[in-house]
Amino acid sequence: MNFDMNEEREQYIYERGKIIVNACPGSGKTTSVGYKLMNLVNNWDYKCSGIACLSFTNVAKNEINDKFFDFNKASLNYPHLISTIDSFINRYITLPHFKTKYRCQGRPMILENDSILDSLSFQQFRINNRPIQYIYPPSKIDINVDGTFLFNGNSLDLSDEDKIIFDRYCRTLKNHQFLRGLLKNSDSLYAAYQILLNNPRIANSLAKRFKYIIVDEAQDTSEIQHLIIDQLIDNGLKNIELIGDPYQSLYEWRNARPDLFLEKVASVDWTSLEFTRCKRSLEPIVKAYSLFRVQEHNNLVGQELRDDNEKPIHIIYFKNYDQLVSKYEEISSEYRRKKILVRGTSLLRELNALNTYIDLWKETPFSPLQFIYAKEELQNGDIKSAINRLFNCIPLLINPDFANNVKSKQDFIEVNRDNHSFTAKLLLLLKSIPDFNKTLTEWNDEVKETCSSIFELESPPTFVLKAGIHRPKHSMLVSQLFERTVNSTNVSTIHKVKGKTYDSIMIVLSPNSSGQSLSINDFIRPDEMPDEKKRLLYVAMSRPKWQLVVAVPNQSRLTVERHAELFGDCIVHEI
Amino acid sequence: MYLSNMTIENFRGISSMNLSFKKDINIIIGENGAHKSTIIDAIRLLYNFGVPYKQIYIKNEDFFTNSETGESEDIISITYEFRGLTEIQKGTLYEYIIFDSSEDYASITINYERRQDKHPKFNYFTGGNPGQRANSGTFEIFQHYFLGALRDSTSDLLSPQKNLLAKVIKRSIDTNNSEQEFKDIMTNANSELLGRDEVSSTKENINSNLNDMYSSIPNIGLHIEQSKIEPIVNAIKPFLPFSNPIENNTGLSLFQNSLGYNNLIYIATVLSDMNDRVNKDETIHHALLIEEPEAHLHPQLQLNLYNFLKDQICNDNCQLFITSHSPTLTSKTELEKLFTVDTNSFKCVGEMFEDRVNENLTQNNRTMNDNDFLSKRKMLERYLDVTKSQMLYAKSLILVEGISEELLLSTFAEFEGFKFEEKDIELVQTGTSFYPFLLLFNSTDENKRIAKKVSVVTDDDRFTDSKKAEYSFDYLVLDDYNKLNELRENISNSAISSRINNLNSFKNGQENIETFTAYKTFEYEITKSNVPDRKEDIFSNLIFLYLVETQNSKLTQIQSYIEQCPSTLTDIYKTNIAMLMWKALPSKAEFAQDFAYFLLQYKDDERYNFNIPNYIRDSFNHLR
Repeated sequence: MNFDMNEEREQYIYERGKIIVNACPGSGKTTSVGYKLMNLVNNWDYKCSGIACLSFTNVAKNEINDKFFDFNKASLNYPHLISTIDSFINRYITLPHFKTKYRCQGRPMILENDSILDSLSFQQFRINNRPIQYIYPPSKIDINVDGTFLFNGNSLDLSDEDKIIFDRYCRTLKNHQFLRGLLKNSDSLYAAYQILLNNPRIANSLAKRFKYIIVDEAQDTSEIQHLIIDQLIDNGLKNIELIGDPYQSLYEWRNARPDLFLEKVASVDWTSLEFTRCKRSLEPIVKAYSLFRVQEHNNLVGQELRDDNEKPIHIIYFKNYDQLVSKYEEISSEYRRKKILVRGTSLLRELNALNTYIDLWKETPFSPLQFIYAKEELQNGDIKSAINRLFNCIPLLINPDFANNVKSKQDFIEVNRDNHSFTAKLLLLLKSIPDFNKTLTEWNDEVKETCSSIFELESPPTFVLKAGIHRPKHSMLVSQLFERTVNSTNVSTIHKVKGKTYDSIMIVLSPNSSGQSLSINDFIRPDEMPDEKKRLLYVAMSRPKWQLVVAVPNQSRLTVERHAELFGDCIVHEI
Repeated sequence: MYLSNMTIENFRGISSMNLSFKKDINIIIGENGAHKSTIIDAIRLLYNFGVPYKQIYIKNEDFFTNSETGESEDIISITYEFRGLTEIQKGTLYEYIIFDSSEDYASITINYERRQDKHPKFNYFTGGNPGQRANSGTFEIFQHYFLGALRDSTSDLLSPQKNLLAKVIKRSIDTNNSEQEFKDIMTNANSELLGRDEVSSTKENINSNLNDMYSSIPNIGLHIEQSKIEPIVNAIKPFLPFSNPIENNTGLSLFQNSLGYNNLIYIATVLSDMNDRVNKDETIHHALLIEEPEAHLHPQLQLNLYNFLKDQICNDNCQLFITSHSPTLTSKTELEKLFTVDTNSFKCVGEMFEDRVNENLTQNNRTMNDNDFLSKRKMLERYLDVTKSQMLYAKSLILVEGISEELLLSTFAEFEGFKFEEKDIELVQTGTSFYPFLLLFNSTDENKRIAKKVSVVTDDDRFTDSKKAEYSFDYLVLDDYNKLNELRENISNSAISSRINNLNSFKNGQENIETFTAYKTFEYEITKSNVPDRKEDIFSNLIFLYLVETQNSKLTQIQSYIEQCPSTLTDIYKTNIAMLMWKALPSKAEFAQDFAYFLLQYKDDERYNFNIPNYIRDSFNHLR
């Protein structure tokens, strides 16, 4: 694979030390990281100390892996590592060293499903004589960096009296969790930071195990992750790179702190670099989304138009959603890779693109809806997800007590991960899930039969269908009840397309910006770091190479001047 | 970094054992079957992962089997702990490290699960939590050389597969980046060879033949097949140059050399490789495992080798493990580096003298402090010569002070119908003091005592004035045996030596140690045990006959005393006869040597009788 070197990239490739890179969309951030990684690895002198390349999501992690493979024609191996930042922290700090700081029975584990915590009982903590665990479920309680407690990621505004009770409840909950080693991911991060503070030798050794750390998507790094990185730097980590685009930070709900990224950009301790050349999109598209950058960052350069008459930006004014999709199909007919992007479930529903089904079962011990998803995954070739899904359900059939005992269920799964005959049974089940051309009742009975024969259950599982208003559905065909709509594959949320490239994109706006909705009213250049709505638009609009279509509800139509101001010379459609 | 601790569970004959090692040299001694080789193999199991080809496998027979029920355990588990890590090693072994308040250390546990009709299943974890696994790439840190008991150093040195010398040279070529120069040398030599008339004319002949056969067949060229570096260095072999060679580089092949010297050559090569590697790579830990270095080596050479190894193992990342049955080695080793093994315990001999102040042992009315213990250890190190070192290999011991006991006790044993060596009993003459020896066995802490039964055989030394000239034989028979009766009274009325009390308190409440004291002295006990109730029986007793046979100058006087005794002897007469015989005996050493020989001559002769002193018999029985 060729690497298209330019001045900005060259500076980045050869720079060492503490580096922070502010990289615009389409600037080949991941490619550059992959290329630099190859350079570093090929000149690496240490046998047992490596480079850790950390990303925010598994998808991004895999992408770096792929890029590295493209350049190097071999995977990255020991002593190096490509991982998500969370699993890096879990694996190298919390899990091995939890006991240096906390008293804990056995090895701690990171919960895959936080809602398991909601089955714990803390009835003694009451406000107005109501147990507060129902108002503030345990799964939603996190510890803040300063040791205070957050609900749903936010500090609560409570009366002094209630706050005392809330704090006591949270403290009891967290003590209980830590003693049993049941950690949410956020707990693990908090614990990791405390572990490093408590025993700097750990940070010191870790900085020797990984002499070079690269953090991709660094704009989504949380405060505590920043603090952990700072700890490593204070304890001898010499080479650290943070690469990201603060404008693309979409994970505020997961405590992303783009402001801290920018703080480091401004700091004299860090070598600050910039990628301003967008190799993905045509100049007018770059210009359009540059609206969301503050004036001093309005310096991006896009690709030249292929011919003078090319007009990559389209506006569709629509009265209702009916013809919107077909109109877009028409405009974008020459492009293959394309997506319709929306915000929020209501718009997804309007566009007939909802991805989840209504659960028609009472949850005892889990819903057979899981089998429907698993079969779909199997049909889409994603056998790994399907098996994982079954791995999480089937233990509940084998031992119903697992529902109340998270740890023993996890242990069971852990023990059976390598048990080939168990996996073989799961595969057999996966293949034996009945076809969907049966009525729901028939299908349900057949599923029970299949489960009990494969796993030799004493009595068939109690999969009970919801009655009442759902009763008529019992005699409908499963294939009708659980049918994927055509649009569901073409319509997507913005979060899902982060980091991806398309030929053409259509963004569907709402009439106004109430709640989570995005509207044309959001198209204003910010004075300071833009809010998350603007960043969503920025991410969405920076996906396409050739064509950007903005669908605006008719009622929020723009004046001609505003048009020109926002989108320059564009094509306007009306439906 | 060094291997500081190891825990073995269910591996071969070891059901459970905790071991601590010293950072440089560890000499493991013990009887046969004490699992010395199992310990070495347990160490090898880990170091095995650091080499590309496995030299040791776990089989289903390797799982501990209960010798009573015949049931085998299902899991072999071995934990290794390394301490003294440098900062770089801590980074390298990050996933192994347990951050501990006293000292951070690295830990890895390997285990094998026994399965029906399949090879055992291997698993491992690093650090403190099962489930955490460092990348297997880290295993390369653990490097080792193993010289087994049944080694064949000659073929290890010469076979192309194991060619150690070639490996060392190759590594050196890699470091110096001089591969091309080596190839150039060979290319030059090759072209010179190929340029010779003999070669080129042969080639031409072949080619002309080929042409005659079929004109369009391509001609051949000739070259020497050595384009790679390995075969070149592999061709370099050690040999023994003649002292006055007619030609350069000629000599004897190693196959013509003695096995012992080849062992030394092998060890020299290994050490050169080991030090080379440890110096080049500061993360590596190198273990050198040698089983029975005494094999093929005469005692002086054993010591030279040991001294050499001691000097060589000076790098913090090298550690030496030796198993041995050699008292020669044992006698020259500091006790701190000496480890004894028996079924489920592994103890450092030197540590028997450490941290024992709390036991409140007293000597000379003073409680022993740390320094007292350590100075006793030094004393013991001095006393332990080749002969005394054998006690560490025995099952049980008899400690005696004097040469007489040492010479006579084994003869007495034969009278009792056994030989010391058959029962693995070692008789040790301790010289001036029992105490340094007893400290090995008398701790109240099970981990600080070697589990052996010990009989201490000594004299109660009452009435030491008996040595005075006034009690010499000639005076005893004067004045109607006046002095003889006085001596008897004095002996019986005197208190036993305070030494005995001290000795008994040094038992420290341990049942494995027992003190057996002679009434008065060893020699006195021998004569006293052999004066019978009936006077006439005395003439068939071997001690009396010994005096006869050696034409003892005092014999007539003894006989005349016996004549005037009644035919049934009372205690007073018996004691007096015993005292006279005792006083008539020659010097201790002379008596012991002669008498031992004399006894053995008549051992099985039914006409004569001889009684072993009771306290000696008791001391034997204690060891059974």
